[in-house]
Amino acid sequence: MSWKARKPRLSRLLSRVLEPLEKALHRLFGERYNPTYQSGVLALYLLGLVVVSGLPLLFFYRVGSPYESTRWIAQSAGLAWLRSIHRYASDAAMLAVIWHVVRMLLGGRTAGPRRRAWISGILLTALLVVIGVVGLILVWDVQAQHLAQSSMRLIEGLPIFSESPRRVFADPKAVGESFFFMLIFLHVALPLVLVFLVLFHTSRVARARLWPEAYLARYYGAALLLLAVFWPPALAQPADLLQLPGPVRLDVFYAFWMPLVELWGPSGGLAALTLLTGLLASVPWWWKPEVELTSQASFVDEDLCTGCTQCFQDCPYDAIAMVERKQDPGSRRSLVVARVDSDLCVSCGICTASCAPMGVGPPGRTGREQLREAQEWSARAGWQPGEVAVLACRWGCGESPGWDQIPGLRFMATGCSGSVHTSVIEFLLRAGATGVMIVSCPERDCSHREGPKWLQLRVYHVREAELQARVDRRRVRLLACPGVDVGRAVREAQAFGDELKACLVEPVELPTEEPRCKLEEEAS
Amino acid sequence: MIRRMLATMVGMGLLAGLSNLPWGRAERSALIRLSWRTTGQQVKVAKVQDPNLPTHMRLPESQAFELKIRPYRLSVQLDQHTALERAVLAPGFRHDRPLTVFQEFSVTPGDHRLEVTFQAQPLEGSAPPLTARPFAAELACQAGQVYLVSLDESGQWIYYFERANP
Repeated sequence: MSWKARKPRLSRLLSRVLEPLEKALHRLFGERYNPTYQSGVLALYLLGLVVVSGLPLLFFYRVGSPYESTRWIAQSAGLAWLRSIHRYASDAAMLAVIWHVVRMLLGGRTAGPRRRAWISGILLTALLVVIGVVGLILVWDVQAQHLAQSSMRLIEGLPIFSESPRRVFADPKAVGESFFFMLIFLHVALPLVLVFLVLFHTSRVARARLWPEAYLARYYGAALLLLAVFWPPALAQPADLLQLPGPVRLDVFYAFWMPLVELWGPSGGLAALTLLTGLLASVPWWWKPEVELTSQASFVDEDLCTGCTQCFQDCPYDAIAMVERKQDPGSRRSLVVARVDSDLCVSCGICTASCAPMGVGPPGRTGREQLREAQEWSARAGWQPGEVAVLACRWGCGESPGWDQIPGLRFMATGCSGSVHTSVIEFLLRAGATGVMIVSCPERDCSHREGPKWLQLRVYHVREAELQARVDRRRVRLLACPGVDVGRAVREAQAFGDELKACLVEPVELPTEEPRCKLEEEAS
Repeated sequence: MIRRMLATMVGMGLLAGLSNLPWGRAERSALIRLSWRTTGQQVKVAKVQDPNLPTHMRLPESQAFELKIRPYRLSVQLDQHTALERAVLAPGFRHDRPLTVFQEFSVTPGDHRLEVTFQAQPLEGSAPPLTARPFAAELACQAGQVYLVSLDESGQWIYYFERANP
């Protein structure tokens, strides 16, 4: 059995390729400190560090003597570590950006309404590279000279110049104060553009998180500080335009394209970069789910909608609005009704589980359809005593074959765990399952952003569409576990089963009251 | 926790390593670079007008001529061999932008003789061009060095290397 929505095929393939790396990172860092789970906010945090460490340096940098002032900064005890942090944080930010892109691909978060975020993300990355390259040139050592000359070689590939741009660095006299003034202006002004792009990038998500948790910020901030103090980036010899640069230190994060220019010349290098950018920019059109998202957008059954606004509050993408209900005067129905904007809906199904009367959700995945599916699943084989129903999110553990044929467990892959209606849990317990375990992704790694959070609040707190008080909470278990650690999820599920067997010696009798939303109601 | 800290240390080490990756090799050749930008010789060329036009219909003197930049011929002789021979035309849509030259020649370390000629070419309807003085020098090239030859606005050769005999 399955909830229908799945990750794109390419995402599943990439997951398999990157599984060893993800497993290793998960094992080494654990869930809380795994930097890959919060790559987006870590990138922003690191860029914040870059800005904070860069501002004091700005006052000591001299456009008239760029290398000498940088050397003075590098030798000054009070500023050297700031310069190192500035450099390493910008490198780490690029690394975080790269991993953020990979995570988006892994989660299939590229197509449909996410297209805008994807394209703006590509622009952000390109801008970040430009800012980084400008920053590296500002140092004006041999490495900067090589980078500057290679940049000019690269843009020479554009058929728009009537004279070779490399002439800029032909003559030592040509590179003067005004050149470095222009560079420092760009290095300060372009990050402002970056800020606006970040706001645009996150504009389609509700409650966008722009900062990591304090413990994570402290941990990685301290690690960077230690690196900056004990391994400061070396300053090479001063640039000399009448000397060929020879061997240099390459900053792979910002100068990754230099070997391409060296190997294939300006036109080849530019063609390779254009191809790469084009390939990445076109991802939303070819890296997408098999079913178009617009046809999978949630819809609202206005007859069932009570206007409670819960789906409107829970939607992680601001795709639901409360609008005035068109109704006859004197009607006792709510004045407002939920409406889904299909252009914004990513079909995560989180609204499904937020609606007690089951009046909203993507086609085929509404609460009523979930109940029907659960009913068919239960009826097919019947429950054995002591069996635990495991519902796992397809975006995480649910795709793994590790669940097959495990005694005492019956497994069903679902959509995002935040889309599982609490009535399904109650139904499964009533149908004969000894316990129900829902395996979600770690909260910071949820493909639909807020699934585990809402699930937790609905099961253990009283967030609307909550699990009814009559359901014995001892028989329900929520587990946040990444897809790469399915073995742990299996062990936890088995332990839960054993625990239930030990705890619930007496068969638990549920009250005779039926679940609030019966399938019979729908039939009537 | 120890595992995490070790992993972080390794990660930070990788970060530092990748941001300072040794790359490139020591240069085994020298470079001769020709680079200049000049307005060159400008000439006034009369526009073609019908001689039968009455005086009041002819273009005024301020509009009767157009300013053109002469085409040039760049010739580079390296060790008595022709390394380059090409026309240099004023760029731009109306061919009125300054002439630019940027050429680089990779040479082996050692003694080389360089001769550069940048000669204006005749332009139809204008006086013959002035003859330009060629540049010639004996260079003792060292690996990794750049030998820059340039031309200023007045047509004087400028060079950036020690041993030269222009």
